[in-house]
Amino acid sequence: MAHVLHSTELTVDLDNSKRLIFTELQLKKGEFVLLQGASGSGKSTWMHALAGLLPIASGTIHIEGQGSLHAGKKAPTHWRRNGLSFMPQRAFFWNSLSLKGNLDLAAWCKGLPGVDADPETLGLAGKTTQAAHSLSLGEQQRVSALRSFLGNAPVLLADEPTASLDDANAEALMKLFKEHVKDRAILVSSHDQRLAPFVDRIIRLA
Amino acid sequence: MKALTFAFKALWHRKATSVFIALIWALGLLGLAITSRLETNVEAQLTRTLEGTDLLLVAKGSPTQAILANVFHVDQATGNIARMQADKWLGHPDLKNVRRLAYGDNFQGVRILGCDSATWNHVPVQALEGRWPEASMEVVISAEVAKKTGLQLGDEFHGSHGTVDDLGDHDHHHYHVVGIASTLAPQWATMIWTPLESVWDVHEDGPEEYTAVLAAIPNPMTRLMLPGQIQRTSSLMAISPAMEANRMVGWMNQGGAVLRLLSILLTVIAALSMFLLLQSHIRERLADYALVRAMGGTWGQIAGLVLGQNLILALLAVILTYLGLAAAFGLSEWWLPTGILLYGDLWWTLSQDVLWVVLTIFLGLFAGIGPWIWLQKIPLHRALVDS
Repeated sequence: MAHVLHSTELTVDLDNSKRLIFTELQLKKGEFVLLQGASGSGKSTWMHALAGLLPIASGTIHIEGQGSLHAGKKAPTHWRRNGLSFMPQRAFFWNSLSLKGNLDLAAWCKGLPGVDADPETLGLAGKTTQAAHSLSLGEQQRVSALRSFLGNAPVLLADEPTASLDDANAEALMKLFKEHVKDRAILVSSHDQRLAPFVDRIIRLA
Repeated sequence: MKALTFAFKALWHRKATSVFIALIWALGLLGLAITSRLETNVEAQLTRTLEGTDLLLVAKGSPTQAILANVFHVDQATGNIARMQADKWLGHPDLKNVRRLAYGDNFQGVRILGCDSATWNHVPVQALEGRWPEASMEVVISAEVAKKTGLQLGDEFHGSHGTVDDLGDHDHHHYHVVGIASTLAPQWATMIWTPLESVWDVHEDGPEEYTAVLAAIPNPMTRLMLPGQIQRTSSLMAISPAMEANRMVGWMNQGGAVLRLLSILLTVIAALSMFLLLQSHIRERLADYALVRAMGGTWGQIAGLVLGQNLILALLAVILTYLGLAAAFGLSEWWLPTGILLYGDLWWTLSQDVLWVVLTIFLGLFAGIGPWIWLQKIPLHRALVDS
């Protein structure tokens, strides 16, 4: 099966003059992969580099249909708009917008005509007009996941999505990822041991 | 359009600060708009009121006071002039539309103006009930006086001495109301007109005097020369009201300049506050904007969100300014000095506002450019991790 994401060995220079080197990575469509490692091992840095949020000092990242991102170059807008979705560790929401408003904002950022997902399927019936930041942490992360599914980008990168969730909410979120993996590749970074049973492959970061 | 919706909601979320800044801004703009409108209106009123009056003959004193008393009818006259002395000049072939005035008494504080028919023919009357006077002691009262005093057609009354009430009554001379005139001209709003002879008959012991003589001089050379000639060869004061009016407008413009400066200061403070508000909002909600980028938003879309907020504030300030202008126009009789009239057509000429409206929108957008550029320099990675 063709790889939707192919990254050569990457090096990233951090602000504190520290250089991190990440191994080659390939993700296939329909693959659910866990990037596991202790806190401070560089998981988030790798995820940010793959998402084009952090410049790479060497290496190349290729996303199917979106071309390649080379060292020293900034990720073009279409990379994040159509190539991959990024779910940050904390579910950032515009506190001036409702849950639905935040989904509308995400669709607008991706250039979509509207929101092609229904938050009520996540057990959020009657809460779509509520301020997004007033939802529980579990609900916020599920909405954040739903937001990253918008536009059907071939790659979804989720950075520590279960870090502050209890078992039930962590399980609900992983099930949600599993339901949506068939059209894309999902890479989840976490030090959370609870996630291993849900994924197809685990990459351990030393 | 979507960007403006999101921008509006971001402002609505901190509505107290947003409205406060728009209000300060609107106050500045209102100061500018009202100052220029007042200048235009007063200048127009001076021009319209002084039209057809190129010469004013009065007793020596303050020229401004003479104009206010005898043209605008809002001040005390500078004194009286002898009929004999003034009449010598009234035969001049270049004097047209001569109007002789003699202030006599008052009725319940309302001036009784002795004048000839040329004066009341000069009054822009909307409606006249009854007729103009034809004999001594007949009067026409303005509609406002009728309302104020309760006088009706056919009523008789006697005046009090002087132009203020209670200086002694002339109770053996009765004025007879023969007409009620409605006029929109503010200088004629509160007035009782009567022939000159009435005033002289009431004061039968004294000499026949005028308070002032007004005239038009169509010949431009005479208009220029005659006042000086009268001044040099008689004890009368001859004023060219147009020149005095120019001087009055000059003073007014100086006052306007101070007001305008204060208004500009308020506007600058508002623009600065808006810049700081946006800057602190972006610093506080940095991750929100980084997220927009992370989700694929372009810098153009972020400009729409950032500049859109300032654009909305600027438009709100413009709307508040027009509401203020409407209130100022509607309540003008409460705050404007007596005798000054606002003309609706001049007040609502919107073309005079094009400059400040365009500048306001430009300033709003300009104040947003700094924060927008600053946002582009923030590494997305740090913004998402540090927030």
